[in-house]
Amino acid sequence: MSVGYVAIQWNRHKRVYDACIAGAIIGYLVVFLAVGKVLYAAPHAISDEILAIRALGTCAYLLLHVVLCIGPLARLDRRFLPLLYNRRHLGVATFLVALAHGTLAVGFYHGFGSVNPLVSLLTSNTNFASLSAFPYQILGVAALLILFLMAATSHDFWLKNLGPPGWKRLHMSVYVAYGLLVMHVGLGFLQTHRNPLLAALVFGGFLTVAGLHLLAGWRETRRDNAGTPRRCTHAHVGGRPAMRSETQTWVDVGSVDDLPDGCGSTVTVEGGERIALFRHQGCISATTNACAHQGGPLGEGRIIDGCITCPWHGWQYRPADGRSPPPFTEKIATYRVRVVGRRIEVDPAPLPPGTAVNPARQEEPANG
Amino acid sequence: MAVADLALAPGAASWRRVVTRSQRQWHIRAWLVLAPLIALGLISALLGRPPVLIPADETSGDRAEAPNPASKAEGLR
Repeated sequence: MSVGYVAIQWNRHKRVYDACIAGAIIGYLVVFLAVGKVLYAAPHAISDEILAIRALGTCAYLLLHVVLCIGPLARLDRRFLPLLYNRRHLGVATFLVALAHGTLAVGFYHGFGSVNPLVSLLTSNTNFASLSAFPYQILGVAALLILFLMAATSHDFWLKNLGPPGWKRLHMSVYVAYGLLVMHVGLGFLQTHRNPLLAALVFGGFLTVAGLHLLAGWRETRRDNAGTPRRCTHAHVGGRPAMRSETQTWVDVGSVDDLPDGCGSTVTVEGGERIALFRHQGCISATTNACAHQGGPLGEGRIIDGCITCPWHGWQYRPADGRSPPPFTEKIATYRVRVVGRRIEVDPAPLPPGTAVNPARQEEPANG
Repeated sequence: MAVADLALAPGAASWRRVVTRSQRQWHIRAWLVLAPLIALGLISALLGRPPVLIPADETSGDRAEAPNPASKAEGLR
């Protein structure tokens, strides 16, 4: 979080995650090379270099699919959240494998002439008007540059300097890189390898990635539209006037019974903003749904050690005031909340980040 | 995307604290545009493949003939 600068804040989870990534990559390459040697036996043998280029290329392509599927899967099913925690490590690993693929390919196909290999790569084929002879390598280079940009800015240093929205927007360029890589494969490898299974695998991978993103987005939009709570007509609680000005309007956001203890819930108020609700030890609290780190969905997190914990990277905030516990200094916006009968009501006007609010007790109506 | 297009987060004092909802909407729209484009590109690439060339020895029916040394080199590409 915000205390001091550490290159990578290693912990056991990250070490295990990285060990799994390294093991999976090495295992994949070994199996690919072994199976490739058997499949490409004489008289259809191919050189070890070509086999290695294909092993690295398919590995990077597969890794990118995994990276792209983690986000929507975590939104569709919380059990995938642990994969999201260090997704950036997986992204950097994808770039490194793709870089090895590109370096080997450029060296093998363009490294034995008198022209600089990179110049040769970019100028030797200019059949841009032909689908079957398109210089697909350029698409791979463009995708690799995007992956490099993302890997280079994956550290929290850049997140902090660019700001979460700017950083997120920059990292959404991974979708462009993905499109370029699909075309790199479609206009390259699939042009000369006619096995329908290969085309089906590439198309199936694309359908999986696109389908998961669209499904997660559709579900989220539907939840936002269906969950917009109604505005309350009463301005007083229990005969007492509300604490805020006369313009204050309370919004019914659901029943206390629908909010499990220790868990969060997300509601969308008029105007389209999301509010995270939490129930902890009989108290109801409301904060903004956006984590100060990467804008993670706090309402999909839970209470750990008395703190709201973001499901993405574990950043924590106290429910009572939206401040991170010392020594951390992050703050998020809080909301006034009260309980009327068994209904939870929220004042949709946000309070400045870090403002203390008395949590509403579920047993009796309370003012914020 | 212009900063002004983004909905400000509750309590936001600047664009740095923009809520994720508008970003997610943008994200969905990006996929609605990208997905058909990629699908179209991939289908075009598959349909634009050159026709399969039938080796001369198969058309002539002389399949017992030993492969041309040049065709071995083909596998090295």
